[in-house]
Amino acid sequence: MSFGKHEFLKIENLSMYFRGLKALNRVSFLLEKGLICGLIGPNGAGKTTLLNCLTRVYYPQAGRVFFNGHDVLARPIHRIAELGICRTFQNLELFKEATVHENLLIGCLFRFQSNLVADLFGFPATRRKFAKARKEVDSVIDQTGLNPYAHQKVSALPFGVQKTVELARALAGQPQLLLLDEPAAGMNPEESLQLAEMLRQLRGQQNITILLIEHDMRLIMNICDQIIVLDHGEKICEGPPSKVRTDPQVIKAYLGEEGSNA
Amino acid sequence: MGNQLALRVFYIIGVVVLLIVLLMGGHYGNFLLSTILVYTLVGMSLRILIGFGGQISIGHAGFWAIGAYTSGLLVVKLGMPFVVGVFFGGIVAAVFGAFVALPALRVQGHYLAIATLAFALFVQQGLFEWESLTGGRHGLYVPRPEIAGILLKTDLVYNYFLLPLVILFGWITENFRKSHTGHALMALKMSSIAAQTAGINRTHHLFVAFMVSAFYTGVSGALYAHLIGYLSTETFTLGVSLSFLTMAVIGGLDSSLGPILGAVFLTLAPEVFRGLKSAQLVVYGVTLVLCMRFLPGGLASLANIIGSGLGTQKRQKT
Repeated sequence: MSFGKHEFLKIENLSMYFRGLKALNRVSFLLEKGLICGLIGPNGAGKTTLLNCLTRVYYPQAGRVFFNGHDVLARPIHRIAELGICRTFQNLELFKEATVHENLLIGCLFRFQSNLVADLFGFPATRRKFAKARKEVDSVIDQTGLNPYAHQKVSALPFGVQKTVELARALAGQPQLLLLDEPAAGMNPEESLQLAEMLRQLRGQQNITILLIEHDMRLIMNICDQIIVLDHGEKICEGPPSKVRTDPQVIKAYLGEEGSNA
Repeated sequence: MGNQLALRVFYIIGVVVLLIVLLMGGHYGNFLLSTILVYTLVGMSLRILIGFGGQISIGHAGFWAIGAYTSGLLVVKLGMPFVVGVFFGGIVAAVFGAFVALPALRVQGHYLAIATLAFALFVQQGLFEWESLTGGRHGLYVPRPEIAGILLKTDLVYNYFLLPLVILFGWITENFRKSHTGHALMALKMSSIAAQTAGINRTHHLFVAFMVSAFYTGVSGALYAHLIGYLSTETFTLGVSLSFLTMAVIGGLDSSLGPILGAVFLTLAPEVFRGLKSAQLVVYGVTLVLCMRFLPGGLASLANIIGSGLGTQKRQKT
């Protein structure tokens, strides 16, 4: 199989087993730049596992992942972000005892050169580096509406705000591909609408491609250009919302055998 | 917050007063001050490793010994200047720090504690057995420090050298906290997965933390060697590692004042409790346990306790 320059994200026959449990079984798909793609499926379908493979939290037993022509799986976990892939986590993985500002600063540090000696002796280069990083963090804080919380400890913030902090931290990395694991979980309908609006803006204004796992079907059908449905580790359907909504296999996966008959 | 600030001011004034008293306190006062300053460097070293890095070490007596013997041997056997000896004491310790970082990449907590403990025992035994180099059981005599031909004959003069050096290291320590690596370590401590997916190289930053920490302790050991004038492997027992850890915890790992407060405690407690003889160890033990239970942030965080105590009283009144 070959891959051309135009292929943004290409996943080939990805398989991941946990002691015989097939979390992912030969999953393949393509994702074009600039799309919002939903990854849905019942609990235990392998959605989070797929995200973990893409970011090298896991190393799949088989399959390949290419991003802009780079072999993602050949890289260690800490060299994925530099390709332009940033993510959030299902059960928040924030730097809880740090402030919102610090969380975002850490999220963007990988784009700057680390020079220990310059840092330890407070060279001007270090001051310039951190000034630039702080400025970028401030603009992401503005964009995500986190200003009122900027210098508060993350652990003291309400759950919904913490979710926004995680999204903002991923954005601080200036990703081309943003991976979101259930960004709307725990949100009320109004917050969920705001989230949809923000994701559309990210795609529209910054041309960020988004791959999101979500159970909120209204959100998914509302914003996604493409939807991939997983069940028991296998891709059972792929296409625009209109197609997925009426696909008998998808309905069966969600509602069971009787549902599809009804 | 007000309490915290007041306490900081109180401590800073206290430390300055203590410095002046000891500086004017004759030979013994100056010896104590030198000891405090030397220990402060170890306290900073542990602040970096444990406070910033979230790693544990009960092997710091090993780095201390390596620094002391490296400097002693360079000065005695090769006739190197004192300053060069001290610098290489730190460098050689840092190289060993890289080796000790290796287990930390794989294990945490108790297992890492055991690995670092093994390192300290290995160093002590190695120095003891390598008699042709280190003098083994006979020990090693180390000359007084000498800078640019000027002999730092008394501890008073030595203190004039140590004090700015310790302040410099303190400044570097706080820069370390705000550095790229400092942020990375903080992130790794709070969520390793999130930190690494945000592009932080765990291996790299752990190595840096161990090596910088070992460098500080190596320098401290070298300075100690020239202060004491005689090295014996008896000086670098496991007990010393444990004292260092006790000092760091009692002083407070999360505060820039922690290292100096801990060093004051470790130096002056034996003076205060001299009458108790070997029962002194009980005092350390009890202090440590009380500190962990009631004051996990160490002496430097005393204001939080006082503050919250006052807070409850106020609430009860209303």
